Amino acid sequence: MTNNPRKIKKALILADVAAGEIQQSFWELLTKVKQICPEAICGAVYIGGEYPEARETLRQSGVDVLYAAEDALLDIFRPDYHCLMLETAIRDFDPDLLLICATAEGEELAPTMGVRFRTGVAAHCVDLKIDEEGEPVCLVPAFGGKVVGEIYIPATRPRIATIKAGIFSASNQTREQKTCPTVIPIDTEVLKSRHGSIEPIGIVESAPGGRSVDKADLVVCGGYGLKDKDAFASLEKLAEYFAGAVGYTRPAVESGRPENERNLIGTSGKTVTPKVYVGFGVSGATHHVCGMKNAGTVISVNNDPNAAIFGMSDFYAVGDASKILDAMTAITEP
Amino acid sequence: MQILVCVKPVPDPEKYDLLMIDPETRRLIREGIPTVINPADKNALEAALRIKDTTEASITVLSMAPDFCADRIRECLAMGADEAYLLSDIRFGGADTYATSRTLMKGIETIGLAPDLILAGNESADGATAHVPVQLAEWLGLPHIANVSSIERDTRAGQAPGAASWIIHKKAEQGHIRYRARPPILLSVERNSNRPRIVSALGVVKSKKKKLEILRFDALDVSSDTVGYAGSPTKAGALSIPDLSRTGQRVAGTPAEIAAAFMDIIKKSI
Ligand SMILES: Cc1cc2nc3c(=O)[nH]c(=O)nc-3n(C[C@H](O)[C@H](O)[C@H](O)COP(=O)(O)OP(=O)(O)OC[C@H]3O[C@@H](n4cnc5c(N)ncnc54)[C@H](O)[C@@H]3O)c2cc1C
Repeated sequence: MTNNPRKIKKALILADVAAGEIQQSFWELLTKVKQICPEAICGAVYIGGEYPEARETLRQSGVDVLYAAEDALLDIFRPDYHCLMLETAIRDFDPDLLLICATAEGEELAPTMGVRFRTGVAAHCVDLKIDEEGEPVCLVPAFGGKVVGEIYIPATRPRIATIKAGIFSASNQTREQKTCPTVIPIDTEVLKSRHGSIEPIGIVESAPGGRSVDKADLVVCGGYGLKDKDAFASLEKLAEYFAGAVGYTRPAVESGRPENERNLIGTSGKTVTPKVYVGFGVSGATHHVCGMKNAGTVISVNNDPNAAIFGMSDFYAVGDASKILDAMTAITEP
Repeated sequence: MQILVCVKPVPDPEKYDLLMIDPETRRLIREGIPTVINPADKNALEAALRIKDTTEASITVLSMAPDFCADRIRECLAMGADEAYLLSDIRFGGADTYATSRTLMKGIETIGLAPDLILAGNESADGATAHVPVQLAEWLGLPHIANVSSIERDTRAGQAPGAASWIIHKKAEQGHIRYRARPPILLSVERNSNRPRIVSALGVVKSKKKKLEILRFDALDVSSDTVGYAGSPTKAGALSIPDLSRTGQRVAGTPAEIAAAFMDIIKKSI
């Protein structure tokens, strides 16, 4: 079956690199490619400022081909510039499959490539498989994650898929690499002569707001039912005791209790897979559950005995969220 | 200034917990779920209305949706938009983001619009891909910025009114990126980035006199293989509702007892 037209012969990953730091999602996507199409030639693209260390790590990551568009002009995301650089790499490599991490930037790059290459894009895949006939199939959520649908991109190339960080798991094996490719530079000179109508003028960093929920083994989550003013400070205390992190639901963010919305969990926020998730005053709405359903153990507290979250929990208690939270933080104090 | 706002009627996202799949047809049952304007699209419309509050501007609303959604589109006119076009035809059905954005582009061509600003909600509540606005810009050959949380006029001195630029905030991973952007441009507006105004009784009365035109397949310069399901590079397979149930074990007692039990479970599991 060497001529199977469905077969992925070349896969390309847009490396998610933030200020020179290779993000975990890159390893997640690389691991997935090696799983579903181990024989494919695997390429990566780096687009950003000049960070030789990041470039070197990517070169040794286990990819067969590495494209790099390195220029101070690309340090801050500019849709027009970054799209042009990615387009150039795709034209050269001609992949059958293109994987992009669904960051704010990736979500803008992927659909752009869809139109430029006249092909389909599957958004926010929760899984990527090869079906019995050898055809790649993307599983994508709809209706806030309540429904999952299969997406095929049978006739056009590359098939494009975006995946949120934390959806796939990364294996360390991909990093054991014998031969490292030479870097194929993408010409950034073309950017200098382009007077686009968008000009970045700065970055406003959001308040740091505690540890990120992405990598935490314990996530304690504040919902709208955690109404006490000091409750979020108690959540921080509890999380800190276990070196965990604090997450929250959308209504909690809107009530202004957490400092920022970086650790919002759910459809419009992050997808987390901690060993333990504890929800305080969380109802269990689809949009939120979509982001925590794969947690190892789920514990929940709600004062409504019929709360939907109970059916999705391993352990639960009916009661006042603040009171139980306070009793838990009391235990952490010597 | 001409502003185009793209909107999509969607099943009310507050009610997605009620969705079911028909065990026989494997189709989605949406019964009992009303249709509303996609939440983020209302933020886009509000952003346009705020510009119109302070400047000479006309706002056109464009949507691709079935006829029964006309009432929802009229709601946008009641909020303050000036005119609306609904692209509605059975042949547009089953479109993915690629075919949808292309049909919208053809609609803009047919109407003969050359907007200075195109605003759309960043993502729809149902599909939530965030593709359509960006892809529409690509078809039109316009620059785009997605995840926009604020749009302000650039107040630097000496700007000619016609060439006025905008200061745009884009939500990014670590905060916000600020851009200076010149029209024409498309901006995808974040949900909750402003508070959409409430429709007034007067607004409703006025909306009845405003233009709401339905454009069919024949009005657009399209062929049947470029619209709807046929024109979509992505093809949908089976649908399923993931089973998220766990064997919930209730822990009872005083808050202190419950707390002790939970602390134990956490310690054992991490
Ligand atoms: C397009 C769209 C995208 C969305 N994206 C997200 C997202 O990414 N993440 C997200 O979280 N939400 C999202 N939402 C919102 C989501 O639909 C739900 O509204 C939200 O998840 C509910 O949050 P909650 O459980 O904190 O609040 P509620 O649903 O209001 O639940 C509060 C719970 O607290 C309980 N409670 C009240 N008082 C107490 C008390 N004293 N002690 C114990 N329990 C108490 C109540 O019984 C209730 O169950 C989105 C919505 C839309 C429309």
